[in-house]
Amino acid sequence: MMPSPALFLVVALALAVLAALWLLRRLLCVAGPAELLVLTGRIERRASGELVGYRLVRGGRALRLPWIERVDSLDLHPIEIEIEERNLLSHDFVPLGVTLRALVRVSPEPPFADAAAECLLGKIREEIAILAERVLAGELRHVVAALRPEELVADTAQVMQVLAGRAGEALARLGLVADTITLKSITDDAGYLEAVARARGSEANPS
Amino acid sequence: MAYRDEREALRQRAETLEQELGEARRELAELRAAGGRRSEPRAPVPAATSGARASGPPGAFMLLLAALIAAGMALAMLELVAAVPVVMAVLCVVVLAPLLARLVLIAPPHQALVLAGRPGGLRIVRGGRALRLPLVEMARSLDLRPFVVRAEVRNAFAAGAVPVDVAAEAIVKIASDPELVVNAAERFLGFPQAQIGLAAQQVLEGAMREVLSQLTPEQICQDRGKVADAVLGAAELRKLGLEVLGLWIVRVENEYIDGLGRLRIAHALRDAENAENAENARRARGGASQ
Repeated sequence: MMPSPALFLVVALALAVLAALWLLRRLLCVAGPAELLVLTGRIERRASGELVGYRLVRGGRALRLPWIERVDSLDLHPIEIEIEERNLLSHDFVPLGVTLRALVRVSPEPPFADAAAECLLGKIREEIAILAERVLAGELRHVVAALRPEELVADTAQVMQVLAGRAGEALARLGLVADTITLKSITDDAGYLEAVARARGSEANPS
Repeated sequence: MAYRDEREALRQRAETLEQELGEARRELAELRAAGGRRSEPRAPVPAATSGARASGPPGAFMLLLAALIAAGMALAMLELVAAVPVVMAVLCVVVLAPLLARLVLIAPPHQALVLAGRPGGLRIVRGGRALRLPLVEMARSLDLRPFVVRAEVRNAFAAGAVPVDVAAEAIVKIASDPELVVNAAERFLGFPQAQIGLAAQQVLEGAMREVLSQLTPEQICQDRGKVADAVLGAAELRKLGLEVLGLWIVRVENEYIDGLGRLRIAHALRDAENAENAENARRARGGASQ
């Protein structure tokens, strides 16, 4: 018996629905809360008026155009960084050691997210950590070099604020943002600060 | 085999890898069945956390093809001759689309696509897509992501002919401005990152020597921000299509500087001893007078 055309039509319809669902599964991109999706290939005009060939999706979903759009993602989880720098020369050339701890993450905010997409896409956490580490270590050296050891220990909060500001600028160029930068310790291997404290202590207690 | 561009090479590689993966999975399934162990649940397909996700929907594609063939059969049996061209047209589109898609090149934001072959010079596409003309146009990509470069000069002469060793660290990338990308493409296309780093390092070292000769060792050590800015001003990296995201003077070594530091520490120690001695003397005097 010859199958009826209606049967073929039903099969065609069923297959088409299945194909559509499959397509949807493959093309629907959902960005989790700690994920920034970068969909490249569709050229759009931004609010600022410039033409951009990619779009950023954060905490939402987007439909990818087949064949002409590709998806990459950036991990927004913070990365913990510890920097231990020995032999930092201060303003009067006395060497100090400083240990810093920082939490750095990819910034999802618009102007920085573009830099992140350009600089960090496809880089693994360790690679990102190395870049952030070099920035923080470099800025730390610059900040310490401009301060006398006494100034460094006297107003740590102020110093950390200056450091955070300058490191923040450099990190922003990479699309990163520092959630926290904290000073863990200052070591004084040369014994300079200790000597200064001893001298002060003796002068302060003439008994 | 010569590849027209990286994307084709990558696609080839992805295909062979996928084949290997399929074979490995089959082998694994056979081994598990033969071993008589409790079959473990199929491992979930790892969610792509970074890198590109699947590029096309082949499963959906096959289904769509089957649906169209079935629709065509139905129409043929219903003898709706007028509808046949429509189905044929859709079929053509479905079959041709992936072939055309091979000519669509996508440059994610971290890559600059350099297309050569059309009159009017190089075309640069960053963060977007481009259509490659088949046969006549070739496409290569440049990685725009930053990397760390260390530059070190030994025995550079600071002002007053004082020799200093200075090390700097920079974060360098290929510039994203299309005009500068052309400069980089002319020099570095197809080169590994290490070679680009080496070029940047040499330019920076030259600039450092130039800048250091105008500064005293104290200035170099204390005002590092100014030194870094001056080095960046003197280094002609834009010519190479490179951009510096940050430069830091990480080490300044010089006997004179070391001496100043030691002197400072010695003074502090001496002052401490003097103050303590003075205090002890006062105490002794105080004790005697009582």
